[in-house]
Amino acid sequence: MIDTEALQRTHSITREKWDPNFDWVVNDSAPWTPLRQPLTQTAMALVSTCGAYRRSLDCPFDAANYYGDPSFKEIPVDTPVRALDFAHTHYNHEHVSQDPNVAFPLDHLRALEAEGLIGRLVNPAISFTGFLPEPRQLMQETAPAAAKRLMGIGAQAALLVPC
Amino acid sequence: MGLIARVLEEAGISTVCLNMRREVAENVKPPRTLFVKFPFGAPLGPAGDLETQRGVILEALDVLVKATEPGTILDSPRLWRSTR
Repeated sequence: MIDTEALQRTHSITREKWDPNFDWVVNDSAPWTPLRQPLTQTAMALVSTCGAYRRSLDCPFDAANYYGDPSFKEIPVDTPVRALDFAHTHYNHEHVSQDPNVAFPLDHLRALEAEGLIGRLVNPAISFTGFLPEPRQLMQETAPAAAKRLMGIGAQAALLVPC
Repeated sequence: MGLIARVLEEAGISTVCLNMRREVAENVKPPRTLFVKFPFGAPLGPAGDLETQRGVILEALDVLVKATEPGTILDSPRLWRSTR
């Protein structure tokens, strides 16, 4: 079911330009894990789909791929945000190039940790790149791998930032 | 983004998503969503506007704490650059 004109338009453009088999994912219900402790005691992960990677250290995402790049990168949370670049061809980079915190808010989350508003910031943060008209590999392989990694380092909650 | 949130949630991690296209969240149904009326490329607000960026994060964390229904979508009252 595609229920708005805007979604129909994106659906048509994506099929014409990138993936002739593209369809929106539609779900009837949402999974649920209750937050079991106060925020001040919560191990919080950052997950962003803005295509962030560490300049000169990480191989950039394959942003030019018509079908997207379902892989993810681990970004140590002590990485200076000025060391980040963004590989993603489907949004305007005006803001992230001036201020990476608009999409990968490590400075803000480190501050919230220092102030005790969150229990701790889970290390590392996880970076995906968001344009993915065929999400099968993401759903079956890379997102479960990221979940396993985050569970393994004690993440209890995650803030997810798209672009 | 919502797809990843669903996978994390199923694995046992409580998630909250920012979102700039409400109708996509309505279809994908992430567990908890804060809809912001910001353009693509600036999910937390304008470059250099630290107060707005932090405020959006705190709003999202509030959704994380207070939402009780799977698929909750709350609308941030913030307008682009209105806080500057």
